[in-house]
Amino acid sequence: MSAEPVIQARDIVVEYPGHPPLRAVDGVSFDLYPGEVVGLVGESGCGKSTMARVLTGLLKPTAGEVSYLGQPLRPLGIGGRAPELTGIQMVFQDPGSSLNPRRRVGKQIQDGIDTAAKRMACLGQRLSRDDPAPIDPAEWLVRVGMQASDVRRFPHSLSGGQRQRVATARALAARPSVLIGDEPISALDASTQAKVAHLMGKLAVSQGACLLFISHDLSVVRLIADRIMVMYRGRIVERGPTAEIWSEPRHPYTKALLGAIPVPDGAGKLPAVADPGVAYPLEEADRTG
Amino acid sequence: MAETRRSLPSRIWRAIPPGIRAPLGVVSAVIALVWVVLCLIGPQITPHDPLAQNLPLYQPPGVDTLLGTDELGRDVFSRILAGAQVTVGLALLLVVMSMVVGSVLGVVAGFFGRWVDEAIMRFTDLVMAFPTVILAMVTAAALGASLFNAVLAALIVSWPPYARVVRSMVLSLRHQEYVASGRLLGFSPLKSIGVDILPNVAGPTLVMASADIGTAALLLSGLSFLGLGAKPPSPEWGAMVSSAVRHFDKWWMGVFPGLAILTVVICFNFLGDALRDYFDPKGATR
Ligand SMILES: Nc1ncnc2c1ncn2[C@@H]1O[C@H](COP(=O)(O)OP(=O)(O)O)[C@@H](O)[C@H]1O
Ligand SMILES: [Mg+2]
Repeated sequence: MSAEPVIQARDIVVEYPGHPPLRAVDGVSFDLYPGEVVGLVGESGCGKSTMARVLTGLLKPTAGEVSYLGQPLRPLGIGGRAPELTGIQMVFQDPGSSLNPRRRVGKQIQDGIDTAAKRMACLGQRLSRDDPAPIDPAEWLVRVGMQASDVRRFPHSLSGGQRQRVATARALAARPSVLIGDEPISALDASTQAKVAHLMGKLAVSQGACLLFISHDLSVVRLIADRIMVMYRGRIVERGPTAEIWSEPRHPYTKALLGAIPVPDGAGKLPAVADPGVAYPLEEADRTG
Repeated sequence: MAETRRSLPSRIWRAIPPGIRAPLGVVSAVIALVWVVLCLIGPQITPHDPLAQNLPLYQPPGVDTLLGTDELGRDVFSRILAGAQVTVGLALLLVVMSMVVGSVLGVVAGFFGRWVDEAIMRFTDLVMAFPTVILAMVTAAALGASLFNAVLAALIVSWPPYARVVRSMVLSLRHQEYVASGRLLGFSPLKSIGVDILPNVAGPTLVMASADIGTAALLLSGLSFLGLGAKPPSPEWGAMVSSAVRHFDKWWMGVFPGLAILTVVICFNFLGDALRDYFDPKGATR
């Protein structure tokens, strides 16, 4: 964690227009460092996806600022994204729309490889076979646990888990410095969830990228995350190393989330939703003591 | 054209039991194909010269003149064959042009959104408010009555439905996750449109266009019937019906070109509906 942060989010506020406006993200700050896996958990509607879209620049925050590699991040406008900023990649939630239905899997992974090539060309470098990341879609498929021959398949012939593997391969083929997974496994069945989550964590870290893994399910996140941030009503209410949060939650909301997980093994399938009738404090729990 | 989208043929289609829609769709496709082929080779295979006035007048349908002759001694059958190129050919041309103009504007509006969208859609609404026939009359008055000018007038009013439909498809596609992924990978707007948007819009748009061909043929024939399109001696079907009106007792002069128009209208519409059912089976029962 001594390195420079990849992403710094400072006092991010997002309000959606309405009467009154809906404050989906309410003053969130954090740093993401290379090579770490960070979990962002919280129940549905607490602002996780909104935060993810801000971090990628797909959404311009109402207030606050995101820096990427020390530079302020320009939100995506009408034009294309500059090659320097393609180091921010994302895997989305819905396996049904995370891939273009009309294009072969290999082509879509090739897009990721082309993106990496373009960015490196800007830095005066070239892709090579000796790189740790493959430069061939078939090799990527093998790396994410599929067959090399799957390059010729169309997304509709793949299972949800396979599609998310392909989406992961495409994102990582772009050699990002930060990969954001916005509930990439929520639509998968329980046995596939852990596998895909492990795969994402392992591959991202092996490339030196940071993985921000978003989920409403603390029990899966804790399997791969080095540290965890708990989000509640647009705020981060608790953060810390995974083991500590798991064994010694301090914020009442975190305790409620953990309480919703069946003991003793905590690996069962569950919607980790705290009691909606309870209003928890919005102040972040103090974990310094 | 497409504002009569739930047109009579479409409503008939919906009344047909689902079990026989598929075979009916195939029959329609075959007849539509025959017309398209005739539109290419029709003039070459006519038994008589469609313009020559060298046969006995007012011959009823018979062995030599299959569908009879008209008031100038021309073979009705030959004129219908040759007229396919005019009526169906120009309808195809009109639909293709409407589709291209409407799709380009619809994609641009839907993809770029904001004021671009606002401006294009205001313009579309404005144009859609023009009554087709009045516009055709204005065009005919300004540029002269000709089939080309009729196509031009029809084009002005027939692209907006494409712009609307394509725009709404693009709007929903734009929020698909793979489109966002593409943008994050650094796709330019052109690549994003070409790779992620257009291929997913093309199918429904082509279906819409195929259903429109019949309506376009009817529109062009209608304009010719009113004297705003094809002029004598062109074997345009609407113009043929128009001149037959003055010879009501010689039924074959008007009935056969009318039937030609009818089959084109119905078959292309049914073909469009059948394709829609085929690509979107869920919508078939709507
Ligand atoms: N485009 C939008 N317009 C208006 N409200 C939105 C929009 N997207 C999300 N919201 C609202 O913002 C809140 C946070 O949503 P979201 O970020 O999707 O939460 P999460 O991903 O944690 O489920 C929710 O109340 C949601 O209804
Ligand atoms: Mg979400």
